[in-house]
Amino acid sequence: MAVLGIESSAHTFGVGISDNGRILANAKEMYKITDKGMIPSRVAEFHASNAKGVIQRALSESGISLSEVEAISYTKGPGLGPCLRIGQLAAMTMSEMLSVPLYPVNHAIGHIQIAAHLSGLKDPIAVYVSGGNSQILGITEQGFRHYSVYGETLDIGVGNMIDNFARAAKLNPAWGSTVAKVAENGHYIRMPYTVKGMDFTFTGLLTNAVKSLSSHKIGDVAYSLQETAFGMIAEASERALLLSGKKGVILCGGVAQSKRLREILAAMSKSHGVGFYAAPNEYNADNGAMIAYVGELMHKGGAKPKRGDYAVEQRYRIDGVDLKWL
Amino acid sequence: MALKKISEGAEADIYELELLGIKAVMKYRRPKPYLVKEIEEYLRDTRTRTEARILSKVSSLISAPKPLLVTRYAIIMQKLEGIQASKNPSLGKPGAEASGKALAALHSSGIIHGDFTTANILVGRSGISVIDFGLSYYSSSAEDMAFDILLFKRSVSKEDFRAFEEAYGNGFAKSCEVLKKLSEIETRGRYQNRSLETA
Repeated sequence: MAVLGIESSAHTFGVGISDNGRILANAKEMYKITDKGMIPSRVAEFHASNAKGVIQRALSESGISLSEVEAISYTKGPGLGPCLRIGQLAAMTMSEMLSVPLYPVNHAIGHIQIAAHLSGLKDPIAVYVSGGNSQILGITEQGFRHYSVYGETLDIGVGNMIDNFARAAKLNPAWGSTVAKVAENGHYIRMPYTVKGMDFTFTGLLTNAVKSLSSHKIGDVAYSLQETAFGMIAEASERALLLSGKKGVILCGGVAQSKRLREILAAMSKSHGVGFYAAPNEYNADNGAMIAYVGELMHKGGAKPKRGDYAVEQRYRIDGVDLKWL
Repeated sequence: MALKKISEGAEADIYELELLGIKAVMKYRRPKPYLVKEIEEYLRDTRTRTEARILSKVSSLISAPKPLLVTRYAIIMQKLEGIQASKNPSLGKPGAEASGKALAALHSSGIIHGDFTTANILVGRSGISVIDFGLSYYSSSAEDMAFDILLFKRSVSKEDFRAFEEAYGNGFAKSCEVLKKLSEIETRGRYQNRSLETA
């Protein structure tokens, strides 16, 4: 049995194929971001012109034929509307053409579920960190089976915060790995550290770091920014781990590519004697494989989407998704 | 001084002891080996000191543990009787009202609790007590106050919250502004359908 999944929530158009939890293909094409950021309609055009090619590449990578595809899944949200709609359209067309079921997937569940699957940890807490998101979650049975958000950012996502800093510091390319490189051998400067229970905020830290650029070495500012932001996430995760009583920690999402964040969370987990797993980078970046994998879980678990469930949703919250198929 | 560990919190361990014949608890902030030394020491040290200062203030306002002895990373405080409200099926109307009154008294003095859930409310024979001021700080911001209420709201039933809200409103002059801020925060979207589990 093989399920083909399509991801198109932001700059990546990705197509993956999952067969009994084995990832047979994970093809993608990424829109090149300039200093102007992303203009959703432009990115959507890019996805539309690449859709067919990426689907074909995934099929040939996997070695299966179209007739072996038993279901199609796609990202319903959260993400940019115009981009999501291209993936949805491609998925709908394929499902019609092949007369196979169609499954709308929550993007965050994609990242978390594939990491949980690969980790082998039973019922871990999930630290999901990306550009727009920074959340600490776990599965709960309260009311219905769903991901409960134990804690999250109260303002901006940690990824966007670091990117903003990188732009203010005129780093090129303006993203996390450049900040990490500059931060090597930095020295600590005191910065605002804001954890409220299991929630945290980043704007105060960002403002302070940008201001400090004029009076301190950029390496010291970058180092202090990273240590503070990641420390806050680790401390909130520690609280969530202890309060939920769960016995494992998984890390996923774009910012999970940070080596330093992995180290800090691994040390936190170790200090409580629980397992830690960080997803491989190919699944932390946006990808189709995770959507295919969750589509397969839904297909096997007897998910029955209703007509209205197929619409894309830019703000599709993870904690509203009923996991009865899991 | 015989120490008996009675609980492990997210950042501190609680021990039971007797100090000069008084039943006391010691809250010891554990090291956080995953943080850089500077942040770790700063957090443990300032949080211990802030908590001690706030405890001595609040224990004169409401029923809360009085600090007896403070060291760099530990506070020895008076032990209060009661069971955590999170362990009851519901706080109940009288408990919720008393909690509203207590929080109103804290906010009137510019003190934010910082982790105002039912796990930090003890229900005893002579009423409720508020414990764990580990995340408390001084602030006059309506938003900070609204977060205390938000945490409480997430951990109780609708009925209990109504009783709480009324008592809070009667006990604190600026309550209207805070409750308005609360509904604003709730419509920011990040806070919808959120359930908080307590251990």
